[in-house]
Amino acid sequence: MHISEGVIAAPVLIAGAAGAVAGCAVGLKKMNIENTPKVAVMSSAFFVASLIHLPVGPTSVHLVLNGLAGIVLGWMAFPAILVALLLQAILFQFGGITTLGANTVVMALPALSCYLLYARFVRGRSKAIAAAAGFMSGMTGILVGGMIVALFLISTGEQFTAVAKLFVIAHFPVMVVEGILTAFIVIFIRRIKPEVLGGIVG
Amino acid sequence: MKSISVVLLIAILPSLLVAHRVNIFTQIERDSVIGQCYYNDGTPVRHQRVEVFRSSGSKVLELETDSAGYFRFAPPVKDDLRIVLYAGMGHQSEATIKASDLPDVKKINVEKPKVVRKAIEAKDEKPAVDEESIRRIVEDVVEEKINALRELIVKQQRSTSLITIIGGIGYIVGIFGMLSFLRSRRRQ
Repeated sequence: MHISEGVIAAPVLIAGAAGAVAGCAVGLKKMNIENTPKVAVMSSAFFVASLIHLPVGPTSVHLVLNGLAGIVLGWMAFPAILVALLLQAILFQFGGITTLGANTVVMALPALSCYLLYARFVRGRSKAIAAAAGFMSGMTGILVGGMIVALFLISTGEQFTAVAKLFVIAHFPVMVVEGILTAFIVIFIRRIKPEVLGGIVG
Repeated sequence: MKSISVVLLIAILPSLLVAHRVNIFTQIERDSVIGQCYYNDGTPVRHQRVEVFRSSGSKVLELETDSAGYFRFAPPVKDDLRIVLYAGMGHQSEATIKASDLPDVKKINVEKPKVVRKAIEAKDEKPAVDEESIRRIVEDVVEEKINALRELIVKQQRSTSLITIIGGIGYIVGIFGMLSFLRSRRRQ
């Protein structure tokens, strides 16, 4: 999921950086004293998740947890993911500094879409629907991220459909794992601290 | 507070899972292959099954790691070898060795008697320690020393140290802590 340095063209990098800055601006505006710890904790979870590798064929893919970050944080996923990606780039050489903006968009934009699509179901009365929404968030977070990567790679002359197809094949196992994990975490948070998800409504 | 401890648990759990990835490191020393097996945190993989396959996929050897996680075998064939470590509980890792890197099995067996015969013929002459054999001895010794270093470097490159992970989490807490601090000052 992490785009490495020197892969994509400068205009795309700049567009990515602009997107990341805009997202972070909205996210920071929504952050207050009460919800800052939540952002920090999700940022940490995201930071560590990328170290769990699942070998798939010749490559290995890793957990992302951006779907979870999305439904918990909404717009605030942007600053959380930016900080975690910055540290991953510095400490583990995942991605890179020049691709930081693009990578933030790759992972935070799907997070935001998960929030818009599923947050209200995760908060709903029904536990089964909440679990299903959690599962879908885990899957969608990675899937949409992969589609954005494929879009970015068009700038290098790659065929969108070819890259997208390859991504889905390689990431399907991790999508399922992440979906199940996210569903369990959602159920767990609902039981012990529903306020993290914005309370149970409806 | 509860929520924080939960998410911290979620954050720490994965690093424990990472710690149980197995690694296999192989090197060639003269005419044998030496392998070292260890978990990501450096613990040796003790007394576990190791199988050696040739390029056609057929098994040629079955061994077990010793108490320090090492195994050693003389390659029975000069072929691309795939060495698979089965470390139990679903842990598995493999290494491959190219045929070109292996010592020539037949050559060694054939050449040795020749050398001996030569030595017998040249009994009366001075012991023939030519430049070539000195070079080979030195190469062998240096190789042995370098292998230990190579092993260390590969090990360090493959492992993600827990200290780095914890340090990263510390940075995140610090960054958001600073952010809240600045915010709270501005509000006052």
